[in-house]
Amino acid sequence: MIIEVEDLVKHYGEVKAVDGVSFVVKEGEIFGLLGPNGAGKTTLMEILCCLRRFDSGKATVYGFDLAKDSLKVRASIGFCPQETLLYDLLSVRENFAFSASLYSLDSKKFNERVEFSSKVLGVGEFLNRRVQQLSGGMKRRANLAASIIHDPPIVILDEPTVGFDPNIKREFWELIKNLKHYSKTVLLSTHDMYEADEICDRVAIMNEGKIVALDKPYALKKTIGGDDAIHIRVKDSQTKKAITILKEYKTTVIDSEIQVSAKNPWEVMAEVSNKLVSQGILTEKIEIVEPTLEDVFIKLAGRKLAEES
Amino acid sequence: MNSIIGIAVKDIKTFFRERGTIFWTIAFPVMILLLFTAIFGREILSTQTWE
Repeated sequence: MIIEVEDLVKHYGEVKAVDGVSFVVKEGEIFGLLGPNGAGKTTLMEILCCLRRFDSGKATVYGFDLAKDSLKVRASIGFCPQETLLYDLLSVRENFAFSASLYSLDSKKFNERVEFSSKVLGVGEFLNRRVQQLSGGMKRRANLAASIIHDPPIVILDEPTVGFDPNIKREFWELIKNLKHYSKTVLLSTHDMYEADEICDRVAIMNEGKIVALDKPYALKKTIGGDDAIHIRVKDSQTKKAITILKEYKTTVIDSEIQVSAKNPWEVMAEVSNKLVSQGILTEKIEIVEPTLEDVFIKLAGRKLAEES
Repeated sequence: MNSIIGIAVKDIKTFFRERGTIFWTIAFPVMILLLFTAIFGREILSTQTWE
């Protein structure tokens, strides 16, 4: 296991920011910490990066104990925080050179790493431009490249795509997935359930400092998220009649859409469709919707992920 | 050692690329020096002659 955390606790005065958290991250996986703001994700990451002390528990990163070998831990991780930590007045290459100097990289290794960043993270096109002249997406890419310039085996990303527009977000997800192909282990925090679902091999859902569930996104959705739902939209005037026809099913109406939950959605969709058509009701829309990680969070925490984000 | 050189290089580059910093740390003191020399330079000379 490349990261092992056991019963970690961190207080801020009376507040328990991290409350007895335990998990392991396997080599080469993308592991996500999913939770609303204030769940303790950033604190946990900062502890793993040796930027904060913890009150009790045990944690090892790349086999090094956080409490005893903090320098070796720092050398084995690349931490990319939420905010861009690049110098605006320096070019991207100069920023890389600065980061490389902090890790005492020789010029040969530095050139190799710049080559790697150009190829994998696509920073080659703006290497010699000053950071102040870059777009938000370019800055984030450069920031990620600078944080892994020393070729660490572990990459820790704190909400890497917060504030991105959907296209850039998707582009960034591909970059993160690419890192996995270069034998990097990625630990990322997010409050975006789609992001966790899309790129993470395993997800730990955090709430109020605790991990409330941990598994593969698909498994979490299947075991905790509940059944699939068939969303049906008919003309407003026919909604009541449609509900009466479908009374044998478990139905709810949300935003003028009838939702039928079913364990075997494909069969039920065919049945429902036939029943409605035979009674003269034409459906405007009928689709199967799988449970999301948001549903998982609601079931576990009793509230929405987005409420506090 | 590499780290110290790296930090120094970064600081020197950012210093010389910030126009405001260069004005306030180099140009402005020189301007003040010239100004006060122009105003009080003769007085000091005459004082010295008087003594």
